[in-house]
Amino acid sequence: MAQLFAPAANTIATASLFALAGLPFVLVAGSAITRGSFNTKVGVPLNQPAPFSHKHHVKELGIDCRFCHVSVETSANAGAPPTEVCMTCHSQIWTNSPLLQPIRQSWETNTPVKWNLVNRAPDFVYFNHAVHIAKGVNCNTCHGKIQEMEITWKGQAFHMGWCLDCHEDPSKYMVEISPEKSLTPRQQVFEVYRKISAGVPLSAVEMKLMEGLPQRAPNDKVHEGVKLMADRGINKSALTDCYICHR
Amino acid sequence: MYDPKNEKSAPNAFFRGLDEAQGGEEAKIWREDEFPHRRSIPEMDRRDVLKLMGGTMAIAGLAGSGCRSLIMPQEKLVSFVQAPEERVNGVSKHFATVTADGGDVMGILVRQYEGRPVKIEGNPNHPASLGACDARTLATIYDLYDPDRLNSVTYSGSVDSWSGYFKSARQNLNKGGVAILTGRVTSPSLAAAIQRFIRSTNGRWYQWEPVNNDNEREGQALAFNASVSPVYDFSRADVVVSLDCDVFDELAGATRHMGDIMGRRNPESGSMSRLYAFESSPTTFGAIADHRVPVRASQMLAVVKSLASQLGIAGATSSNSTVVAQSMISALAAELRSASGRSILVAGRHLPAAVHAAVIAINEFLSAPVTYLPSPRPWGQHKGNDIKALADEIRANRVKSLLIIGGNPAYDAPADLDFKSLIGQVPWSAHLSLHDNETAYAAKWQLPMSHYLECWGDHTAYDGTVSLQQPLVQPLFDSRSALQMVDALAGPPTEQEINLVRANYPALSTEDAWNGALAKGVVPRATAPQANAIGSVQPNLMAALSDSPAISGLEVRFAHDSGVLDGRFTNNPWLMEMPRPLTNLTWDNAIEVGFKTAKDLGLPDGYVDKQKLFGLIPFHGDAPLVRLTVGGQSIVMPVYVNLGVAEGTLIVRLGYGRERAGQVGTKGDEKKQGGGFNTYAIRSTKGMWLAGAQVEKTSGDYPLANSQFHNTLDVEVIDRNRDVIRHATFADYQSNPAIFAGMGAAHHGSEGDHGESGDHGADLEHAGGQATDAAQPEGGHVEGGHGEGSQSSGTEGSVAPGLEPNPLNLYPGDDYKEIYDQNPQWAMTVDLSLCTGCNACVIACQSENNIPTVGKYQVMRGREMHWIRIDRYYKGTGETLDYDNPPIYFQPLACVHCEQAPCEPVCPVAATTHSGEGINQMVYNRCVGTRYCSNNCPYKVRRFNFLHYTGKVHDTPVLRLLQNPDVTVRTRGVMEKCTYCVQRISAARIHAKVENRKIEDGEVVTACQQACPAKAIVFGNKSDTKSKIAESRRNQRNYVLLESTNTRPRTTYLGRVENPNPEVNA
Repeated sequence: MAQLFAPAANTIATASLFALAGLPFVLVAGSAITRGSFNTKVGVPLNQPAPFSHKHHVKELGIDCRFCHVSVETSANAGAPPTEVCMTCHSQIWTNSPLLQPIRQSWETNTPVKWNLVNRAPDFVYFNHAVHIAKGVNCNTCHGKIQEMEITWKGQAFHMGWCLDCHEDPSKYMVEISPEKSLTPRQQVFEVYRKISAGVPLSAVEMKLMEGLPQRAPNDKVHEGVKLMADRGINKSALTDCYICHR
Repeated sequence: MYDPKNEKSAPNAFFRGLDEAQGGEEAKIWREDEFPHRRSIPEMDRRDVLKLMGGTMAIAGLAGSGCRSLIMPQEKLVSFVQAPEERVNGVSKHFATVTADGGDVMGILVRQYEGRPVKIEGNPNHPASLGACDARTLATIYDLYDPDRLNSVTYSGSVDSWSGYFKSARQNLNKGGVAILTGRVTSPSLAAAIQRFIRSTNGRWYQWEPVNNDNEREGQALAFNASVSPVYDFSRADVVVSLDCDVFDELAGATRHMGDIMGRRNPESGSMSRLYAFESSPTTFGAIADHRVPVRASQMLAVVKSLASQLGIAGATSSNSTVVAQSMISALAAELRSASGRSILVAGRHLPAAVHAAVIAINEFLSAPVTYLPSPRPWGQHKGNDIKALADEIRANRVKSLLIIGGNPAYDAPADLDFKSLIGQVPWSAHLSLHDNETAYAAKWQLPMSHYLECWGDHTAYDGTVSLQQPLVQPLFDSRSALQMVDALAGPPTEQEINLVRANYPALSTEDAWNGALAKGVVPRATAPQANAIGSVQPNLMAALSDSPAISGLEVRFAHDSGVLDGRFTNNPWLMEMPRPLTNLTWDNAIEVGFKTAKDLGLPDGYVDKQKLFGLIPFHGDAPLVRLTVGGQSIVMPVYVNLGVAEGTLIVRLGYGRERAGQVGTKGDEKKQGGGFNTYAIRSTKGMWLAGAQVEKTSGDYPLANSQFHNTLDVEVIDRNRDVIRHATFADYQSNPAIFAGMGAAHHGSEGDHGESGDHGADLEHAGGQATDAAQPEGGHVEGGHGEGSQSSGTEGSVAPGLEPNPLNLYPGDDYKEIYDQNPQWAMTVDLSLCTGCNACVIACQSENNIPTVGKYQVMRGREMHWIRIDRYYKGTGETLDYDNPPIYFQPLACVHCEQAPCEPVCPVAATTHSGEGINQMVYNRCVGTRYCSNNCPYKVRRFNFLHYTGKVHDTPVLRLLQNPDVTVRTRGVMEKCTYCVQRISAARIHAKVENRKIEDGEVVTACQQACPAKAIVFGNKSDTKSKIAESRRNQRNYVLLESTNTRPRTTYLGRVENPNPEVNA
């Protein structure tokens, strides 16, 4: 019977062993790339036809989120503002600003502005804004510190694990945002932005929330979250059902 | 004694097709393997397996790499310049409108998503709908987005323009000899416009509808000497007698009538109506009727005459015919007499005028709840001779310009007129049409017509109710509506389209009145219709009725098709692939014959007996082709044995064999495309509905795609009488309300080898054998086998057996009790007493859930994707089996959402799991397509997308508009099934959560439930003891399908109750 392996096989085998040792590094590097902002674009400002600044409009001018995102309380989609909404003010102020040229052009030629989509859930995910707002989930929880964005970027990568973290047990993230006022959860969502633009000092909870960081309750405060869940009618027993998000 | 191992010994066996009843091979093959004759991996070449595996892994790796944003292009967010008023992005809206496209005027609600209509639902305010809808009307939404629609004006095949057309038309219409040909006109505005048109051009108006009610109207003329329109009130009918009438499909207002008739079939109300059907071909009405008698259509007059003479109507003479047993006629007459004022007779549209006149005489004699109103469409009724008159005019060269609005006369006009070449003889002709069909090809001008969802209009329903038709979307193509085009030719064109309609409604001149009528979907009536304007029936009517010429030998009966109607839906894949009720045929038509006739025709051995043919791979034993000759014309068509067709009758369906229908409907390859056979070729003015025929054998054969054995319930030994369809007579049910529970075979001695179950088994066997004998006290033993649940049955709050944990069960079944207690628990019941197998649910589900069609070849392989299928069973075995008239049973079956679902533990990737609301969830994005779940499903309700059946949707932009955005469009390699319309549940849940309340009963309505005209489907939260579903589940008739498998499904069935007349010796 002829030789199965040629003499070179020894070298190949040794090299393979070394290559195997390098495999973990490849896997880690691959994962770092796919999970990093290079791929997910989290924190990377995305250029738009007109350089719209959430910071200017939300923080400095104090325009409510719902002025532009009209259906955020009633529909699955928050809604993107039609050109007409921009022109409400910009037909009067900054009428000659070159930055606003695409908006004026859209208005004059009756062609929509094609913004670049920043936040996007996959097609098989049926996210609903209305119910999250109704239960007091703040905009910044998913969208990052939107009141500080000159050019909008993505606040979260929207990985499924991230969604499930809260859906498995929302109590660990449930906090009363503006406790000094008896506001409904829905009102609490937008109260913070009012405070910021009005220059009212924020509480520690609000500060952290506005940083776009997870508002994880400390272990000794979890019972407060459980109580809030009961108050707001959040039942976690079915929140991780597949059909909650996928249909 | 019944031996469960031997199905043929069952006292009352159910079977799905002839082959099964005769112990043939085919049914067995389909039962043993969901997808028979597929290649298994050991049969494949080793190299091919490795190649496929490698390729799969490479693609899976790429898709799963998570580098979406590096690979995919940047998506755009396009917002409006000016947002339309009251439009909320992501929220659907309903608009009321009306259509006559489905064959009958139907008021509908259209769900519109971001400016595009996606789903049709019934309008509860409209008398013809009452919230339900029929299959054809539901499917008309596909026609709006049909990629084959005519999309530009063409002149003799070259692209032209509307202005060019109008210029040419105005020049030619001035020359005289103008004829306009339309279908049946139900729109007052269109009728007014046409009348303006014929006044201004001095033209003539002809109507032609291949499936028409001319005979009925002639009969009415005989009876009343006036043009009338009957309005039946079936809600007051204790007895309904159908003389060859497809009551649930052809009667004007059929959808509403189905609800009314079945509304009287609720056994819990303490009384049930009784239905009789004398028919030449089985219909959905006949299947649900208490007495069904096969009678040739040509002998129907004899039946109705002997009935009239038995009733003692003046002038009626019995023809002494032995067509129907005299005992039957006398029993029926006695019943009709006692139910005077509460009984209705109806006759099929194909029957001679004399039958219709006689039926009116009997109805009037019995003061039936039928109101004869003056015709609601006074502008001229459709007359069958119209087309003949037009043909004569053309032949005499008196027609210079011919304008054809809709329809397809070149294809469906009587064959002896040769209308296709006549159109070519007219110097100037134009055809306004949705499709580039046979008529458009024959005409000089081809004009794209607007779909009814794109234009303004109105329609008058069967009872005279007028509804406004409003556009839901801008025309997708450069099209015009019939109203727009006729108006433009009748004089100076009306500026705004809306005014074409609005000008005709002075009573709605205020904005409020107009908007109110639009929102409600019906125009309020100024005055109630005057019923007494019609005189009484002509005296001596019965004596004046002449006998129709007898047909000796075989008779062919032309019938509409429940899917394609007259051919107008041949390019609609939903309707082409819908298994027709009773035959389960898809994609083709065939000559339907009864068992005895099939034997007499001398068809090949094994075909009639075993019907060993359908869609099996390899295609052995296709249906034999025969030559059918009627009046000198002949066509070659396959024969299909449809049990229950009257002896000597050949049923041929119209609307197939199209030459220019489109990608879907044009007749093509017999295996890939289907498309059937053009039966208009043998339909002449001499025999529009009935004709004598000769059949001779030919050598060829033809494959038919028949779904009757597909997805057979997968249990090794099924006692179908007790496990599948439970039924009893009304009398038995009343004397023993627990009779349905007693039919269960859950703890049958044969099911397992538990030693201690032997005693129970013996008891059950005994009781099962006598299940229909209600008075037997043994019923008590049966209940004992079910434990506590059924002991207390009859008291409020108890649940029918099989729905509560069984004490003998190894599994306590309360694994999820804690979660279930916190959430609404969805459940469904289907009342088999009410289901007529009409297919409305099938199409509603297809439309709601983006279900693709697969084509004829794939149907033959058992790969149709319908989430709901309607199983049709025949009953009988051994001597009790009557091949000529077997009892027929329907059972709609979708995923039953088992609490202990066999599909869930076998999924290797947990793509199918259970939700806290008791729904068996299917997660498409997780599914890898092993099909283990489907293999393990005893109900065979899971559907696998083998070949990217949605590919056409992805590739055709216009079809994307048709998809419901709330439901994922599934792709290849993914398992799917009924979700209980989870998108509707989610919408209701979110709505309730936003308002911080509970979901109310009736807030979630599934698509099938919504469409069901008979209201056979109940859905809701079973935890809410006050809900309708909880009440339905407490019903004594409630039973679990395949209870012995202990899957504890959430969908349960209410047993069928029949109400036969004890005086009839059936």
